Amino acid sequence: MFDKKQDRGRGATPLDRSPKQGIPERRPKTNPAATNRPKPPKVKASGPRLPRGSTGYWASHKLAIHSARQRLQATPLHTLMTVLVIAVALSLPAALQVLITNTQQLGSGLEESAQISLFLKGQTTEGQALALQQQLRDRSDIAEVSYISREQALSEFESLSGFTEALKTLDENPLPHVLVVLPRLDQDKNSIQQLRDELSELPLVDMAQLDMAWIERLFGIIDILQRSATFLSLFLTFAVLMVVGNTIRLLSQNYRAEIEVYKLVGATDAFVRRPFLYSGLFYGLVGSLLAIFLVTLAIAWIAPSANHLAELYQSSFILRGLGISDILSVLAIGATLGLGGAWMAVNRYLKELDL
Amino acid sequence: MISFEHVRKRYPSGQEALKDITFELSTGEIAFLTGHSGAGKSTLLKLVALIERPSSGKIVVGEQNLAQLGARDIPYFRRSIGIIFQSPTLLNDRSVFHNVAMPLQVCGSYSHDEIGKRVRAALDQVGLLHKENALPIALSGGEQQRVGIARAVVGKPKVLLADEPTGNLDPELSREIMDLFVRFKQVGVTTLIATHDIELINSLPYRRLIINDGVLLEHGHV
Repeated sequence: MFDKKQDRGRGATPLDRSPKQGIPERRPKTNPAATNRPKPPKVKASGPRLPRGSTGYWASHKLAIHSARQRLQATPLHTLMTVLVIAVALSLPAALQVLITNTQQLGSGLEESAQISLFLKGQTTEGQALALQQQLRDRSDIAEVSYISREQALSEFESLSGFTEALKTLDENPLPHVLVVLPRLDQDKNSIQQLRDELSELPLVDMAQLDMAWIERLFGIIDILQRSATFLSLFLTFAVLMVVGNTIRLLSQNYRAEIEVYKLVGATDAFVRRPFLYSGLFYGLVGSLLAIFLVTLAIAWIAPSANHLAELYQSSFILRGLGISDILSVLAIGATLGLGGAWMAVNRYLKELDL
Repeated sequence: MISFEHVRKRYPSGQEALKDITFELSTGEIAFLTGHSGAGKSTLLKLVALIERPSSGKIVVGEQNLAQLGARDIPYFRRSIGIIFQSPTLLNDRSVFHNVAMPLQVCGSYSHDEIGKRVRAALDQVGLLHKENALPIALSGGEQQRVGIARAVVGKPKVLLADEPTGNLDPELSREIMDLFVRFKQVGVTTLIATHDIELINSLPYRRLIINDGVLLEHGHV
């Protein structure tokens, strides 16, 4: 498989002797590091200026993964604790995100129920009112317009309020014609607000009322929640970075002798760094998987009571868990933080060693 | 193969380890570097291996002026030299085989089969092929030192640097180690051995460089 040129310069020294048979068959099984099977080398490997990025690139990654695994397994308790800390730190922002998504879902359902009542001016005739209704129906941002005549309104009011006797004393119906406008569902609260302002400018309209104050309050709360979540996430992100950094730093100190030998036999910084980066990636990924599991568990536990409560309110609200994109972003954030923390720690350590 | 021109080394502490060192070793030459402890032997070896940089002067190893090598080039340069320490700095969490394989692993360009072949050839050369599965801690001092030598030569370096390679060994084992160096010399390896084993030096017809207080006192063939 390999030409003898690799061995030139050694002449007939014992280095050219083939190894005994039998032993090479046994070694790969007992030594996972030696089971790497890279492509045959195309570059002569010794010599001062080896091209960077050589044929055995994947082999060196396999080697790095192997030694990362060994290092993590050497301190299982510490590995477990680190993963748990990361999981807890990541599950808090993830849980908050779930809370926010659900409140938004709740809020958006209410936003859809927003309606604008147009109280028409006193002298408006029924014909004018019906014409306006038709005109408004043609607008693209309005879903439906219903017409409540002043007589209808009065009888409704009578039956609902029970002020029948009092109302009879009035010689004239004090109520105006009302058009109830349902905005299209796909608009946010700003454009609904804008629609209201626009409608209040119409010549026939005395007053346009949008009762959204409590929806606004809800959105205010969601906003606060969101800001707190961002703040907390930043804090916890920093914490995860520090946890991983600290762990990798301790890990690299444990392997000082190995790092020194590797540096003296010509290892690049990248080679030394690689196993630690894989360790950091492992911490981040496993930590975030565990965080996803914890949050999902918590939601599964809360969901029955939340959904029951929604039923009592005859709401179609269903408690939502982490979506695919949430899961992916938790994983991505975990992986990035793990890698980043490891990178910082190893680079600092390599600088300290200065070999 | 190795040449020093007016090389000085002053440590940040102000200690002047080497003062105006000039010498040249040709390809395939063996030289002993001697002098009392702290005379600057280790510093000189560290300069060749780029573990330290000279304060001034020019060092050329092979065709390479070391001053032209940046930090990123050091790993690739080190693959062309083999370093042997007084204590062999073997890692006890892995077998003899894997200790010797380390210089090949870092290159990333050897296949598994190639690594196996080369490591066993190097171990065979130092007479320890039968110990490849042993942990270094289970070996005697002399055997450990030979594993260290196998690790230094497995990458087929052009230059070997040895810092007190026989320091912990009895005369007979020292002699065996020296025989190894002589064999490497025959295939063109330039070897610089720091030692104060006078008996050993006197028994071999090789050049000696004597350093006293950072100054090169005597050099020449015996």
